Amino acid sequence: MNTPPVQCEISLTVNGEARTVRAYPMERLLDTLRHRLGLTGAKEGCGEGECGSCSVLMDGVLVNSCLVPVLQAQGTQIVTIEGMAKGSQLHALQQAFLECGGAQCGICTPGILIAAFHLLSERPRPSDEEIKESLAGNLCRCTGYAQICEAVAQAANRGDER
Amino acid sequence: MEHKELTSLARYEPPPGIFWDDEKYRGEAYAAYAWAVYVAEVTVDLTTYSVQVDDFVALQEVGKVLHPVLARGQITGGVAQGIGFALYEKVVWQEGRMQNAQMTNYIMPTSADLPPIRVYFEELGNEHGAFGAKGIGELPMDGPAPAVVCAIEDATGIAFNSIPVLPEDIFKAISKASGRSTDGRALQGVR
Repeated sequence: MNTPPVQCEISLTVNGEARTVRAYPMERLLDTLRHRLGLTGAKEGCGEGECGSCSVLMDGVLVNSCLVPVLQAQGTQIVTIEGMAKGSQLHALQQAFLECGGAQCGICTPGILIAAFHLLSERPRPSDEEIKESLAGNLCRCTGYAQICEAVAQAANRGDER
Repeated sequence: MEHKELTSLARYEPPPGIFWDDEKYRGEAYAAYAWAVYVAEVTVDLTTYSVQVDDFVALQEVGKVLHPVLARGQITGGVAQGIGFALYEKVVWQEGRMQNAQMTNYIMPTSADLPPIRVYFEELGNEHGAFGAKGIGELPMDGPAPAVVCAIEDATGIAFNSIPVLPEDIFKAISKASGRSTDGRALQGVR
């Protein structure tokens, strides 16, 4: 009595572009992004919603894409790390990460950039404590977080100058 | 499947000027020792028995700093791992397998758990290294956990001889030492 799983059609907007994919409804959004749409920026770290390396924005909400069934993303706006830079023009956060040494091995970096992007969209001038709190769902093994937090603060300050 | 003969070759040529005799154990086994001082300040909460590292200073002699931003990142990253090693990261083995091999139950520090990590360098040079540099990433893994554990000893008067020092370990040790549970104060220590 095992019926084979059936794929369904999912329409969503990814980094401003309308996309339609055929996917299994309970497939993880992370897998749809990486395997069906070729967007390999979001990384699978733990696969259980603890590490944040697969972070993306779904309708402006910061989510772990390893915990989102793609069916739930039907009709939503998704932002991944690939949507941050404008062509070869890095986003202020990416530029600050580069200058401050915010990335070492790089696996956590896409997720942390998305989490920081989300923070600055809600609080353009966060305090140091707010930065630390808001990135606490994104684990980094290499940096000790200091230079990551400094990069976010630097990007926030530059945002003020513009 | 048919295999042909497998050969393996290894070769090591020491840099000029470094001598080591593996049979007699004479010479310079490690050509460039690095040196460091690590200072941890902690608060031990006597309600939850958790330890917060309030401040951390690392002074490290690396021969020559080649890239200040990346060099500092190596130290802050190593110190963060050392603090995790000291306070959180318990590997539980069961029949040869790690029982808690998930980020859910193997706890490592987040950005909210760490103190400011203040890094200072001393550059004494090293004739064998590139531009006088020595290795940089290993040493900050070694010293910080002992510094944190010694600071806990300074705060509580109890020497812990294994890591990680979890809240339950502190609770047990303090209860044993005082013959009763404590009254919810916080103790501070530096090492």
